[in-house]
Amino acid sequence: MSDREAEFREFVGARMESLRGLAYLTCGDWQVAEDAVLGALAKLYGRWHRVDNPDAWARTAVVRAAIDETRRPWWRREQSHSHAAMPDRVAPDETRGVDERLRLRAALGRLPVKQRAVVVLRFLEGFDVRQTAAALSLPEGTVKGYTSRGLDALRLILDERTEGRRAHRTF
Amino acid sequence: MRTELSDLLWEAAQDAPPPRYDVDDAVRAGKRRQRRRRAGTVVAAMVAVAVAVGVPQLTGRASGPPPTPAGPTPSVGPSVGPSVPPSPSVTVASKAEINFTFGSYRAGKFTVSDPFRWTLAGLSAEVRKKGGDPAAPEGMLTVYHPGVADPLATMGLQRTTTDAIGGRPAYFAAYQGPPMLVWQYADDAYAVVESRSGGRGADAMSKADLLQVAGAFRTGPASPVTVPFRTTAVPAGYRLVQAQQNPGDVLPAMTRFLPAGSATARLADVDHGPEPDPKSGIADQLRIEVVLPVSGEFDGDPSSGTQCPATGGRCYRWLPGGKYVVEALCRALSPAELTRLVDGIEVADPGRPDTWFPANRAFPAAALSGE
Repeated sequence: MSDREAEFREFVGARMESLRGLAYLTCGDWQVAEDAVLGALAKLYGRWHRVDNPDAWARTAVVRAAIDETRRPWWRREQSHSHAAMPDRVAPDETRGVDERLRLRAALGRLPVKQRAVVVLRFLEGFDVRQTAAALSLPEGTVKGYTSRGLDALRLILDERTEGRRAHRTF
Repeated sequence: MRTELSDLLWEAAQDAPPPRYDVDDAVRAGKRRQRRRRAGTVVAAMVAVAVAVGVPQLTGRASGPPPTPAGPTPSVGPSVGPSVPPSPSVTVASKAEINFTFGSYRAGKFTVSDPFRWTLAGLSAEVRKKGGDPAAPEGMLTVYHPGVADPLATMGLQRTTTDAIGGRPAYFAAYQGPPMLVWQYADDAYAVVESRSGGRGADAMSKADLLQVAGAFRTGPASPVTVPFRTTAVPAGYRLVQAQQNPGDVLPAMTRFLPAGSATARLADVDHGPEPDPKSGIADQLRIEVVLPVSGEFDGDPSSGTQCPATGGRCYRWLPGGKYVVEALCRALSPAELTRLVDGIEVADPGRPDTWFPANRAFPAAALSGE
């Protein structure tokens, strides 16, 4: 095994799981997310040693690939039948932890995919506006708008969560 | 809110199902993609603009003497305008001689490999240096057949004239990447050597390195290109435009055919040609190749016979011994047609290049001439 492949393997071993989560939050489907990650890593393999920051490159490529996957015609059809996809309605409050997870997934699932990608890159990956704009090939103004609207859409969930905590403390 | 949202997002990605892919899958996918790229299905986007080249004059290349350096000639310049179709006065050779016309050589710290790829446009060879990355050569040398116009002439690239090489004009072409050196190596014959991007702002080869490689280049006796398979079952209307050999590689050998009407040097130029338009005739390309599969890449075994995955467009069979697979890929052919094609392929020992067949005699005459 070459040094190049050994380094690549080490990188993938360390980052594949988090990239999978990133892709899932972008597209809302675990299977599609895994395909997006595999495709992005396959591209990275050929560019290894030519990419200055493999981690940032991979995160950007994964989000782009996940967005691209959602553009495929079959994806929309699958969405209406997939049990793996993000729910389109908030699930009942069975246990608080699961409920929070489902609520956020539901909220993300209602955002347009690029808006969702902006929120994920900015608040999960810590990209700033400029980095997010570059990663998604969007104008910075659009990123700001998506961020604002995405946060507005998620705020209700967060407010409910806060209220729930207060209520929990009261008891 | 930012920290809280970050936590929430992270939490929302928990409860993942067991992963379907692991590190081996990623490496396998990377190698497969690299192999496909090397096969020429995708070419560098940096030269996706049209490259106008004339039709190569290949007849008699094997029997005639190799091009000989001549005295100084006028400056290198575009000889054909953008997107100009092949001149009707220049006809496609009735039969392309499929030969390599130079061999491996040293140039300072670099070694240029024997050519590994023949196309209607020219020959390709890798440029490596001792201690370099075995998976990525430092550069690529493309030697165009005599009669094929300067492939970069019509791209509108910024040029910097440099000293003559062998008494003939040369220039550097700049694009969004490492420099390329173009020079005339014989009458009406051009070559290009380019560096791989080294990442982190450093190219794998400097301009001086490129000049050194170009200055040491010499043509030599023609030697036949060989392939580890032969068949008489190439579909009517297809012409061989590419044959490449990489014994020991995951893709030991590959041949590519295009509908004869599309089989121009321009489309066969996998190093500097335009990116294939999936809506064009090139989408109907046929590839026949021998593969050294990575684990799990192909189902079945030598007893399985020819198999055609449900995804369509390809059929393959394992060769005796279970080490290699012979595969045919073409979106324009039905599974039944591809199965007949694969069944009709006679395969030599992919691991022993001395058993391979001359490409000139491995396919029907019509597939070599395009007629």
